[in-house]
Amino acid sequence: MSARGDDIIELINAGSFKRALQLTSKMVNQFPTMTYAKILEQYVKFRQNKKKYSFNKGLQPLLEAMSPPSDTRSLELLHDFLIELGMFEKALDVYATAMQKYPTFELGYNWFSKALQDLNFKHMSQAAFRLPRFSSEPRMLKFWHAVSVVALLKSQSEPLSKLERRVHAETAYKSVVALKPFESDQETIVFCHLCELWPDKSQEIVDELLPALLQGSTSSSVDLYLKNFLIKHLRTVDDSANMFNSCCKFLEYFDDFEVLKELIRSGQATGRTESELKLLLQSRDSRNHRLAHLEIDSVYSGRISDDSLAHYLERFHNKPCCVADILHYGGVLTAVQVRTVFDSLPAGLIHDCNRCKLGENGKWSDGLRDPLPAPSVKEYEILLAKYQSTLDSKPKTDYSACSHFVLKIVESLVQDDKLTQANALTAVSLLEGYQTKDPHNYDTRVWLIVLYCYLGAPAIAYDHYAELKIKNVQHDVLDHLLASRVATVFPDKQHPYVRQLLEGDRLYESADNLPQFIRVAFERRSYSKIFGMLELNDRLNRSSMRWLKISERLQLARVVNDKRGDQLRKLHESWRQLQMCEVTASTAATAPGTTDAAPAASVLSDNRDFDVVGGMRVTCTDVLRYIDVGNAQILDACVREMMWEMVALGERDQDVDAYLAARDAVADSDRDGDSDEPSGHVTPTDAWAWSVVRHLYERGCDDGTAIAALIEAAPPVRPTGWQLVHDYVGRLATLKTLDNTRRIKDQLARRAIKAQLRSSRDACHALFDEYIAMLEASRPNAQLLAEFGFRDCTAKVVAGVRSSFRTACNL
Amino acid sequence: MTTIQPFEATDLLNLNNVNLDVLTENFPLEFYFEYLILWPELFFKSRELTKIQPNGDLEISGYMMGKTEGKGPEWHSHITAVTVAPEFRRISLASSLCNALETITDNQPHSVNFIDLFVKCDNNLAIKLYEKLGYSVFRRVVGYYNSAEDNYPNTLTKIQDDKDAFDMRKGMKRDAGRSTRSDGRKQRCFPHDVKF
Repeated sequence: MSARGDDIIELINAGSFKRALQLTSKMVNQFPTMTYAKILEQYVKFRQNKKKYSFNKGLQPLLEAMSPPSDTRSLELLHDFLIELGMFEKALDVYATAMQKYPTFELGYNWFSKALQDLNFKHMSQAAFRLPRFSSEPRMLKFWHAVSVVALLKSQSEPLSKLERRVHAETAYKSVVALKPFESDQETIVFCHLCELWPDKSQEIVDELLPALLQGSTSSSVDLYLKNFLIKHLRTVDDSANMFNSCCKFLEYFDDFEVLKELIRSGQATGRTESELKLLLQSRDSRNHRLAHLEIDSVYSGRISDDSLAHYLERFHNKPCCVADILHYGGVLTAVQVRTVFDSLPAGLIHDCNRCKLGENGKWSDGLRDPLPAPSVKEYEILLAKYQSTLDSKPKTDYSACSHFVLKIVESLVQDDKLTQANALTAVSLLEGYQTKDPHNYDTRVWLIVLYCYLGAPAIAYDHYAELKIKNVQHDVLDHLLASRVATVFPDKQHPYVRQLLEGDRLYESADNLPQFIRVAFERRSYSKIFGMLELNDRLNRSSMRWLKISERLQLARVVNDKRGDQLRKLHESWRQLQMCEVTASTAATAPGTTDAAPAASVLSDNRDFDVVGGMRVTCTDVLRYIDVGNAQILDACVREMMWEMVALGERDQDVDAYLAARDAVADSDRDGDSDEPSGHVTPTDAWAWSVVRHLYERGCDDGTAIAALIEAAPPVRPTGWQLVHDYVGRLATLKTLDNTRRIKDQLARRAIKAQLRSSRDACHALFDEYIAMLEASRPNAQLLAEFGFRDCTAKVVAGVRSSFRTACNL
Repeated sequence: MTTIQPFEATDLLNLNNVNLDVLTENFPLEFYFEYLILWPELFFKSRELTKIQPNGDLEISGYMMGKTEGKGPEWHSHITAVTVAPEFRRISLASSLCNALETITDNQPHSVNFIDLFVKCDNNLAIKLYEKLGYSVFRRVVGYYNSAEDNYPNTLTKIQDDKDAFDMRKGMKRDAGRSTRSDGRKQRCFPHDVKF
């Protein structure tokens, strides 16, 4: 029976609906009381024609007529069916109803697991609440319930009423308190989380944790979560005496500045003098303990003494961490003070680099910057020249502080008001020269990637990207450096990077298994980590990068005339997940049979690390424009691909309609000045491509005059850098898709498409030749490069551009 | 200014300053999850109170992944990974993370007999660091870092500093000196001998 069901699902996925219907009808006739067969029959009908399928006339009467399904297979099918119908809450309700009628551990466990998979904490807590009475391990399951309630109230409480919130919290709290004494730190951690749901249970946390800490021997445990809970709540109840004693105990265990800060504050509150505290600090000589002298001065007198500053700097003036530490106390230090103490210490590479950074970023208590000014570009050049020889003698694994000088020189060349092609080429040459001497340095390598992409040579950028050995979850936070607009700036599907993109991403496939791992965490009673795991799972599901890659892959398939069926199916499945996130996290409730939840840009989780480019992110926005792809833009791109799909079929899609309506509403409110959501950098070609497909989707393919006018309105291809490739390929992507759209039959429109395609392709050589000639005519700063013995890399850039050109002209 | 904090799964999205170092391994999600689930107390990070990221989080300056394994006298904790961002190197942060692991696993419920770790025989800098922390070489694991092309070692006589590991140990009080050998560098074993 199970195999027959699987066969039918396979037939559905293969689009063989007639055969699937025949088999289900046969199954229904053969087993007329079998719930699974009846639901499957409905499901086949739905998949056969989603548009015509009516929940009210199909599945609903069936569900009302029969007793609730309770077997695993029927429940799973029904759950997935309802999800596809966009009825996300109802999908889990089927488990709740079944559990009501046929309560068993297995059913409740399946309900819990499914809710975990859907990241629906309300259902998780409801399921976990029912489980203990059916289990031989009720204690563990009560903690499952408590963890689910904490997750619910901390991150999905918006749809709940005040009363519901209170009931959830009280039920979980009472159930856990009844289990005292706790058998592990993990249980105690859950108790503390529960107490934090109330504003007035801090003392209870303190009473639970303090005795064990102060008893203090190896017979007790040391747990970092419990350390945090105790410190936080001792602070809340303002118990300085116990805070002081606790901090003393914690400092025996850990060298921790947060503890030192609390020690100082509670020491002051309990009447201890500065010298008493400084004496205590002698127990250890570490960075934290030396910094604690500054903290004591700051707390007791609002200013830092020269002695304390010297005590810290004498050991750390030539360590990279020094800058962050000193700047932290900028509000209680003067520029003169810092300069005087700093300059009394021996110079050296890191010392000098730190001095520069203090000058660049210092905000001092006297408001003066002159005593410790930001260095000029010339000074960075002098420093680089001074210390360049150290690059030859340092171990390869060490990162040289010289990279800071190089990047400051690069910044002076490519910041927004200085950016020219010659400067960009000088910057690339400087960085290439430097990278050979400091090969592991990623600050500089990241900028090589950015600059090669900016100049339209992503194939060379990829070589540097490969050197970074990006793996696993790093793809989610760093791939934007190359994957942004990849379909239009790097449409070479034979290239290793693009091939990897096309083959899908193992990271997100792994992420799909995370709910199973989280279930194991529940079973292994590792409660403390579950909240973070749930959040990571959610953030990867909603990851901007995941969605950016989906849209880029689909666009690339159009550019290179590949099949898109599988990718589009995955897009629709993922889109439903996104809708579910939107619904679960908000009060939105979907009406039966409709999917009216249009994901907003805010539903995406932007895990991309834009700060990896450092402080130049602010000053060099033009160079970084190619990675400026906003969340709204990413969703637009996904919907653009859905619209192309629908245009080919001559159909409308309710998800697309809902999205467009919501998008228009946001655009209207933007016009009213109600929204300040950044939209990213939408290029003229992006905007034009959107207007073309939206026109076809909404108005059909018959109005040849309008279509021809749209085609004529294609914006010109910009002449340089990544924009040249992007504009050219973006235009071609739209024109090629139009050309392949059989529904456009009007001759005027068809002629316009062909003409525009021809003229675009004809212009390709000239466009690239002109750009390459411009690059070759650029004059990088030879004198600057010669100063450091670095080579001019223009030829390398040109080779990279030629590689982009070869790809583009073959489209 | 460092504080030692529990490592959360979401921290994996904020490790670029540490993990972009080419010598720091980036494991698959499943591997990190295994450690978070099985040894939740032994996976922790250092955060910098003086360095606030644009998103408001404190910067992560390093982390420790540890586990417990073995039976009876072999019951011990193992340092799987300890790594520090370049900006926070040479300030004893790795030592601080190792000390934190020692504190946690010397106490209940772990109460281990010793802590061990593997380090390449040619990584003198790291060996010195661990020796300073009280670790000593217990044995040499021949071919521990062999690549697929190198094949599994079939003899203990052929040693290579860049392929072999030192199994370094630090005994806790209850270990009563069993993990310390004065001739540890001369003791050799195969990689399968270090599986617990």
